[in-house]
Amino acid sequence: MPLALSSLGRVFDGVFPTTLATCSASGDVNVIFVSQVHYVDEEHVAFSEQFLQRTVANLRENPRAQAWLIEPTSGVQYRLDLAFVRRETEGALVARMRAKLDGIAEAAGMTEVFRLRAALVCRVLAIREVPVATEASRATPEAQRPLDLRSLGGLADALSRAEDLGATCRALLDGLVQLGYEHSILLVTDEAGRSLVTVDSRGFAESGIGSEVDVGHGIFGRCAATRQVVRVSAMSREETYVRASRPPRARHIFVPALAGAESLLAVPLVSRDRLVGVLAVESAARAAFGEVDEAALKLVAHFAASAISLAEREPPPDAADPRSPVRIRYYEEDDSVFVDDTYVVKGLAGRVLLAIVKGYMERGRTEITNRELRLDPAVRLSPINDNLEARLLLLRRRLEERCPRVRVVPVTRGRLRLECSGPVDLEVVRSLT
Amino acid sequence: VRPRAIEWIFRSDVVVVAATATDAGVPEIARSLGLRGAGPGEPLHAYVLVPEGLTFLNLVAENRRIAVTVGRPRDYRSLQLKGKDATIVTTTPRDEAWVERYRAELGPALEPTGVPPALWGRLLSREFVTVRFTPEGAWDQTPGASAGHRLQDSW
Repeated sequence: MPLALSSLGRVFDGVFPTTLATCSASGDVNVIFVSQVHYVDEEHVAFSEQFLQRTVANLRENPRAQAWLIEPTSGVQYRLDLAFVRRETEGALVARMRAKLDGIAEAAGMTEVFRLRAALVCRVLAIREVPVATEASRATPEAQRPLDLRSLGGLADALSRAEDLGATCRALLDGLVQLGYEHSILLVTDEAGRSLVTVDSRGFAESGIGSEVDVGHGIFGRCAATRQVVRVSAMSREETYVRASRPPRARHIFVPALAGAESLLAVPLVSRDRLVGVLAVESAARAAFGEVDEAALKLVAHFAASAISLAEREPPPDAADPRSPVRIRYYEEDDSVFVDDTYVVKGLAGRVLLAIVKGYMERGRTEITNRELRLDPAVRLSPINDNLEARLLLLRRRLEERCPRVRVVPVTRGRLRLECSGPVDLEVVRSLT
Repeated sequence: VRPRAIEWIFRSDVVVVAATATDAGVPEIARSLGLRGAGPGEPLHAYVLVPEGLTFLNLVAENRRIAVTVGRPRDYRSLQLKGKDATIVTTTPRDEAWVERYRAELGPALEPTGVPPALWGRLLSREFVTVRFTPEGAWDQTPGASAGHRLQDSW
């Protein structure tokens, strides 16, 4: 019975490089390793064209080619007899291939080397399993873990019940744990849509809450910029540690990363055509995420994007209690805030915290509404998409983690209360410029 | 004289593939258990796995054309050699010893790249056939600006 492309297990996951052979019209054979082979449909595959001048020239002269693929979970190998059909330089297929390749290349610092030039689409003429005579017992490809619909339903229910962004994030990442994804990261876009900020995570040594990634930079940034799913099955250790984040600075928080991560799946969160953020899961196992995981995460991302958008539109939070002094230092230069010499936040979240603390210091108010924050010119919120909810959640989580003596607590919808375990000593450090 | 810069292709931390084609230009791929250089200026020995390489061997016996690519997974380094005098030759004790060492060292050498050594046991057949060829040229296949360039001082 002829083999079907979709029955070849995880051959397209890129764990092993694929071998591709072509032949010129004059009979000059060329054999190379290619980094990516993509399943296009049951009759076609596509190869990533990077530095393949000879291969492309051969295919133009003689369309016949052969590929040798390895299924990573079983070691079963397949020969694909191919006929070159076309070279695509744009479109959905190229975008999908580029998102994956660019993210990895950037993380590995090899952007120019691995830049995708085109997709070489080939028709599959025949698929043959390669006969291998070994002493090792023949293994069958590992079946992909079925999607746990009950847990997925539970996650959707929990998201629909979440009353604010914090509850939404908890419902989402706790739900992912129930689905079997123990290491997850949720990043949301900033008010300008230029960067992503980690608002919650599960399963990492450091939560990384507050860490930032520029949109377009690294795996998460590429996922956001292209709005394409990025699935990596065999990330080298170097790549893992060169994870996309801004260059280290004194006030830098690192994006959470699983030590020795081999697999990563990042999905964009898009609601009504607006990029809301990126959801990613990681695993130390090679080829941990397959088609089923990709489908599951896309579904979860769809729920999550709607829930986060809704929560961002609905404001939340209130009070202080003086005793031993809490020293809060605000640096005008980058709006960073330190509490008792511990760095907490910067940027918009820093300005928000300053506004709340000033309200308390100058007017004795322990509560403030989101509306007041939006109207406060010192907070400098964008009138178009202020992203206040995400920043408030980030602020609360960072305070919980770093400075439990200061809390910003949601009281009712759209109202916050400042709670301090002592009198506040606020110092504003002016910028020199 | 074989340039020292490409001595790495004869080590055990590399993966070696070979290809030839029918007269109608249909390519056929095979895998080799490494690549042995007998000495400067001497032909090379590729160890083509069987049964997976049987069609390849039949074609090479007829047309004698061969392309061999050696890749080093840990740094993507890759080199292609081509010859037109490929011949199936009797495997000598030196060949056997070389292949035995390659088999023993390959799995551990590639483990840092994330491939479990046990998997190689399923990927590589026990049997092989020795193919001797003289490279007419070597081409850099390492991803980057020099990919596809012919090495000036090869063979």
